[in-house]
Amino acid sequence: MGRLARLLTCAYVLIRETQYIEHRARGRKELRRAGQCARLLAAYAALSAITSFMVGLSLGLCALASAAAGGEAVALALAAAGFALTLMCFVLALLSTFTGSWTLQEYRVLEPLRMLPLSKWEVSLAVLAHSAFYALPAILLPLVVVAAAHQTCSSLTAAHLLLGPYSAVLLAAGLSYRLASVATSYGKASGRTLRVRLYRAASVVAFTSSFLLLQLANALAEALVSLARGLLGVASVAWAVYPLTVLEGVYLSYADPPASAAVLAVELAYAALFAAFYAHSFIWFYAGAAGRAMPVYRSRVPPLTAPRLWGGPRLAVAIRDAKLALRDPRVASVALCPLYACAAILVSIALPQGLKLKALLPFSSLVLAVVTPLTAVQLAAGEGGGLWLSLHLLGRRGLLQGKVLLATLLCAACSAVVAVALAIAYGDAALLTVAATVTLTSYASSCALARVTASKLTPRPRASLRFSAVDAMLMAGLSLAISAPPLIALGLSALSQRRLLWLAASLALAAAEAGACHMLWRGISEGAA
Amino acid sequence: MISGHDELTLMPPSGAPSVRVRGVVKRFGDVVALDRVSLEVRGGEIVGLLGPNGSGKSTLMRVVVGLLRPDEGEVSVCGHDPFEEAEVVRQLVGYVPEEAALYESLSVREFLEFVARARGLRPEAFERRGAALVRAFGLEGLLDDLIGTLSRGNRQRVAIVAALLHDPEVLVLDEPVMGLDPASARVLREYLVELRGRGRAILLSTHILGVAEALCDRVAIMSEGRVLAEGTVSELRARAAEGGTLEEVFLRVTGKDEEVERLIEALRGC
Repeated sequence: MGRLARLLTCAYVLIRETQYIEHRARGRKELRRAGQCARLLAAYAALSAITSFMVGLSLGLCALASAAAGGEAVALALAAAGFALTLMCFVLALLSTFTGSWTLQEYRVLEPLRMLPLSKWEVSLAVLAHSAFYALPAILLPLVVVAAAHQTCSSLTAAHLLLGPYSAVLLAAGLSYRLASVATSYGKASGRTLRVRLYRAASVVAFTSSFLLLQLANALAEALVSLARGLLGVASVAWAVYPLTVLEGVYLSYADPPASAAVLAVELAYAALFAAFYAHSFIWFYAGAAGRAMPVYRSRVPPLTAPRLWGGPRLAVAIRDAKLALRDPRVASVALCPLYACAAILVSIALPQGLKLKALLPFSSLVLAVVTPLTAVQLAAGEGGGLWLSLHLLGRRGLLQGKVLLATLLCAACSAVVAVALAIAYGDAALLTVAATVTLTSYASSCALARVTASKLTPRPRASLRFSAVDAMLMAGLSLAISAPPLIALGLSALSQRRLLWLAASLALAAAEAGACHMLWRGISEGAA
Repeated sequence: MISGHDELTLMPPSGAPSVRVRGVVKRFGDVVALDRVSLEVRGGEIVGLLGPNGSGKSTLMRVVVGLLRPDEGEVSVCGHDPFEEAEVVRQLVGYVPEEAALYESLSVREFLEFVARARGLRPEAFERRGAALVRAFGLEGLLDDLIGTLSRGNRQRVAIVAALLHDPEVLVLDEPVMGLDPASARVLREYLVELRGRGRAILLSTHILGVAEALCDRVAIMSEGRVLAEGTVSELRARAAEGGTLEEVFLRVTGKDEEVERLIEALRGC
């Protein structure tokens, strides 16, 4: 009992320390009291649990929605849900454990434990518990999905829905250990700045590739289910390839339970393989995190250098922000969203059984018009230590001007591609106006959000920009409210016989909003104060 | 398994040195950090390690506490191998590294409680000893502050208290007075003298020769990973032909005397 309590304490301390380091690295408000640290940890855990619950519930309910149809529809819906769940668990586990593992290793968080009389097993188990905490959303998600869909799924189906995603978690966690070890072992002991950059680059690559994979998987879900149906009874080995095995296993648990049990055996073999990979990666990671004894040099990543102000501040800041969007994963996560969405929409348009125009038009417009304005806000927040320089050099309006411009350009580029694809796919040139409507709506939202952001900028005593969770929600709500009128008109154009009229109305509404919000933006002061 | 400090019966046989280092070699790539180093520290003795930066003092200490495995040679602490019996050795040793390794997200109180729990200290033993050490090193007002918000000196005080909490048989202190204010430095010096009187073995490194001269029973002067001279301060003085202060002996043994003279001469011209 004493050992268990000691182990749990060690795990808690490791988790708290890595959370603290990450909080500090994000440049958030300095924590001074122990209670603040404990609350930070509890908030993270609660957020993970709530997110997992919501996502899991929605996935489970999506599957249940098809249950009313009965028969094969349930099997197909659950198979698609199982496949998406597996990919989602992989993405979540990879992203979350990579961050935690890298911090643990790079900041030598295990160093104080090495001076205490703890066995290697105790420290290893504490590190495992630390990883499990970071992978909490991925661990909870399959349980929530199975609980939500328990009325329609047999124990065999539930076994597939649990085994497949948990194998993905093992694979992702093993991969994250490898990545963390590679990122940390690169360069000299004192080269933290270089490693931080590498880590950020790796995070961006991991995030973009996995997010893109997820978007494509969602878009391809229908095609994959058709594939599963086609594979049934066919002498093909494609189903044996993970994660198609999960799709096939869930489907067969309804159609052919004995065959499904055989697929389950294959999934077990995969789970064993991934567990071995995980164990090997963990040993490798642990040897690096606890074995090497290199001196610790505390250093900070220097702020970005001042931009060369050629061609006027707007363009210069937009170019600088574009570079920031690629370097900083926090910004990239938002700035690259429209690109992923664009890719997913194009796949949906290209699929022979793709979404109908009435669903595609409002969906694609909503994603682009609501998400891109948030890029401007995230870019301002991503300034970090360089904010004081930009603010005093460019003033409030100048600082935000480049960001609004970048967000609008991003939206214009994506919406133009989508509009052309729509116009070609549906043979309607009038759909090209969608690009203008979405861009103007995005510009209106960006201007309004820039006005709110400007009010949050405090130049003294040290330039800072702080948003609470409530601020973020209000901004998302504001963006949604501004986007709603023109996008509703766009939706009606897809439903109504008088498409041209509604397209024109949506364009007019967007133009009016853009004009009004531009005036709002003009109200931002030009100085830093 | 060690279940509590009060039950500790892992002492070395009487007369045997508490710390024994024999012909230890440690390499980092092509760099030889320790070159056939031999040293002994007995109970009731303070041994000082002196040497210029990069001479191998900290590496030797990390080898002694089992944080680094030597490439050659033997190390034992109270008769135990620090690497093979790491858990036992860390229960016997209190180690203060040069760069205090602490958890910044914990308050001072939480960190000390965590260390006490990890060391298997009974709550009443921790309350008694912890409170006395906290008072002695002036940490009372900082108990609820996060370690991440403390100054370097205060962090060093926390690291020292954490290392002393379990009343270790062997103390390994790497530059312990670095960053301490004069009052805390004085408390530490007096406490080390008291621990010596209670039969504890203490190995400390320092750049402050006055501290070594006042505290240490024996001194080992290291340079480029080797022990160049070892003995009591008076023996070292006698061994260096011209005698003089410990500083002069140190400079002569490490071959830095002429270089220092040259630098001082260059400064005079500025």
